[in-house]
Amino acid sequence: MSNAENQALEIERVKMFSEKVSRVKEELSKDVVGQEDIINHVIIAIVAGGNVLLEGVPGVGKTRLVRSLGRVLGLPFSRIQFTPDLMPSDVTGTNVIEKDENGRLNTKFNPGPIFANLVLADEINRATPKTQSAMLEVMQEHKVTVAKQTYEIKEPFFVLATENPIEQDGTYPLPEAQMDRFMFKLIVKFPAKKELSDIVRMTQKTMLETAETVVDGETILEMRRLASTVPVIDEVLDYATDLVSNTHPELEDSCSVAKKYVKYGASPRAAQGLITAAKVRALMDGRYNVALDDIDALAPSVLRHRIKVNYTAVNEKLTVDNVISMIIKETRKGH
Amino acid sequence: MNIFERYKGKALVLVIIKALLIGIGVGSLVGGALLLLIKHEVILTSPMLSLLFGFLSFGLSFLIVFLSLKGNDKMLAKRLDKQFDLKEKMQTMLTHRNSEGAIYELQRQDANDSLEKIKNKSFDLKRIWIYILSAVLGLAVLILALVINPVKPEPEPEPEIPFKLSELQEAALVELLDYIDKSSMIEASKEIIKASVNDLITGLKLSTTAKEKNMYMEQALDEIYEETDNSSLALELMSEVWAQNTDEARALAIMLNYYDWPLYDEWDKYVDSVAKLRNEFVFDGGEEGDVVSEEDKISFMVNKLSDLSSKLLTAITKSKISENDELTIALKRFAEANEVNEELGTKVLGLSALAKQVEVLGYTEAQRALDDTILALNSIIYKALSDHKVNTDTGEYAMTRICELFNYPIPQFERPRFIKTSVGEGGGEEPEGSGGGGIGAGPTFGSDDLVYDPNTGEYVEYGEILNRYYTLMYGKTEAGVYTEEEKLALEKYFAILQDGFPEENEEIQGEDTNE
Repeated sequence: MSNAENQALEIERVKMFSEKVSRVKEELSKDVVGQEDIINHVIIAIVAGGNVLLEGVPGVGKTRLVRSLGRVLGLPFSRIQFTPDLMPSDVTGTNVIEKDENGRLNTKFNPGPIFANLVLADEINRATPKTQSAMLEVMQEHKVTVAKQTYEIKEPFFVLATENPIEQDGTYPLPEAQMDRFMFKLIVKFPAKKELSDIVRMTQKTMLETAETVVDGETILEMRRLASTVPVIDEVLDYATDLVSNTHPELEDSCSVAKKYVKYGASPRAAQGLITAAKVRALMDGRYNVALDDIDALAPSVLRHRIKVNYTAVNEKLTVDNVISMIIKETRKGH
Repeated sequence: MNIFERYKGKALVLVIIKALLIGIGVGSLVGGALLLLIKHEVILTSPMLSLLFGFLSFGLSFLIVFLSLKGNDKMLAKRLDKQFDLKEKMQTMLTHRNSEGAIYELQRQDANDSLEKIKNKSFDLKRIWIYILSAVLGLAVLILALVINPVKPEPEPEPEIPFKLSELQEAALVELLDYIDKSSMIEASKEIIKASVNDLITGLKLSTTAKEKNMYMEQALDEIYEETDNSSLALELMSEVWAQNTDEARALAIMLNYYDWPLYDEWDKYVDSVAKLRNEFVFDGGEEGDVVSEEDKISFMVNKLSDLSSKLLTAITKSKISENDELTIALKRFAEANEVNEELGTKVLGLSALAKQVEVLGYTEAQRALDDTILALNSIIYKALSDHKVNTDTGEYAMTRICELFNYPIPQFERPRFIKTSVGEGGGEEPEGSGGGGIGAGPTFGSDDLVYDPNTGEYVEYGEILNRYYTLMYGKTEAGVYTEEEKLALEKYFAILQDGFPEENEEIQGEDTNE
């Protein structure tokens, strides 16, 4: 194929991006009522290659969302229910001893539930830190090492963890390092009355997911590659880095909001995540460049689990999201 | 990029408009403020300078604003993104205008499409009012500066200087009246001047302030000057005679001009002028070889006499001098009377009368008669001009005396002559003009200069008059007429007259010299 033909084909692929996303969202809406923002963020994370931490009360459709997502994306799905007695090997898998045809004993790796493209880590904060840390390598490197043997996980790989914000007894809060591995932390709100009615009405008919597969793993990877080509001008890049820097109260040129309300700020991964996710969001929006608005829209999800507010903010009844909004507002003034 | 280029053009126009508005504002403000300062005399310079500075400020501010607002493509792209909510599409397009790849191609297309879709394509003019306001404010200052004129503070009224006519001053004015009465000036003028001085005495007695005193003094000085300034009358008459534009008329004008020869020591010029006039009536014999008859000579003389008589009468009429004036009467008699010299006891004919007798007398006899006529004119015109001169001198003396008495600036009197240059020296006599007379710059007297003595009506040396006054003052001082203070003041006064004014750094004691 000539260069011109290649370019034409590439243009066609880029143009199809938002169409494919629309189809995914359309199919998901058959099984999941409302939660459009959550769905959008989850799709962005999947395409961008990030992981998502969902925080919400039980029964708001978190598991259903992941299951439907697996169906729509045509990807294998697995669910791990985290409990205090869950062992790391229960997640990653373990070597078992087997007799071969000749009667000799051999070890054989028996992959755990993590070996799927879509993994739902339900109530991840109920597991012990040891088990939680077993997730670190997988989430960051998409690899599992058991008995000095490393196993690669098939791409695309996506972890969607959930937390229950209400029940804190017997939980082990995720360490900051592990939190940082999640691209987004999304707050799943209780559905509105109309949405609740729709949920009840839908589940009275059938509990089974009806969404159909519209893309596959290859397509997701292709979409990821296309998203990575979206141009980001220095102005936007600087804004994203400024925003992340402004969450750090210890920095001299940080914003006044951070100095007043933030205990510690977000890691560089936050800036990377912002830009990567913003590229996907731009394409989903039918644009071919990243805008400042993309950064603003994604900043709360990217930053809320990466920064910790101080006592002053708590005393003034300011949530993390409130503080992030204030930081965004102050940072935007200079851009 | 085409549509972006169009916006660049629009942005440039907008920047020029803004720069113009600021330029107008600043230029008007600077020009107006400067004009106000100049008008209020805070800065002492030409108002045109405000115009110059206004234009300079306009140019400079226009340039500064234009350069600062002009910006570049990047700034324009950012502005477009912000104003039309283009989500950084224009900036991205500009940054990657030369990048190759499908995504860049799509991005550029998307940016252009987005810009094309905007309905209201005009720039945000929300802040244009700031520029308009600056121009309006500047213009307002300029208009105010042009319209408002400084209100000059009313000059503070001069302090009323009290005045009271002293007995000494009154006595001096009475003495002046006596001088005038005894002077040789003509009676009519004498009465008028005496009346003026009497009015002055009455007015000064009533005056309580220096302002009132000055008012009466100026009135008296005007009246005396009006009555006694005859030099301009004589000048006017001489001008009219000159204007008749014949050789004999002009010769007569020159001769009349030199009748005051004693004042300027110009006897020679006077004699020359008489000879010149006389020669105008002598037949020169025509071309060599011509046969000249007695009739030709007589005819020549008759014509000349008649013509000069006629021209002289015309000049007298045109000069608007009073018919009763001595000079008018004298010249009329010279022009037409049968007897012009009664004083000499001889019967002398005037010009027109002589013209009628030339034929009877014959050419030679008529020439002798003309000599008598001119001689008679000399006599009567000298008297007439002397009367004029006496009047003028007495008037000037009276005015000077009044000014001296009341410490008032003494006017400088000037008596212009009709002709200044001498007769027959290159034929350069030309009249100065008919104007003149009155008060002006003139010479000061030395002790040996001749000045008019109002007591005798003769010219004596100034030093002699000064000695006479000093003796009079000394006698009165010795007789105890004056107080010690007055005596000191008078001595100081005479010392100044004798030696001149002291240098500026020398202190003068007893400055009140009017007493």
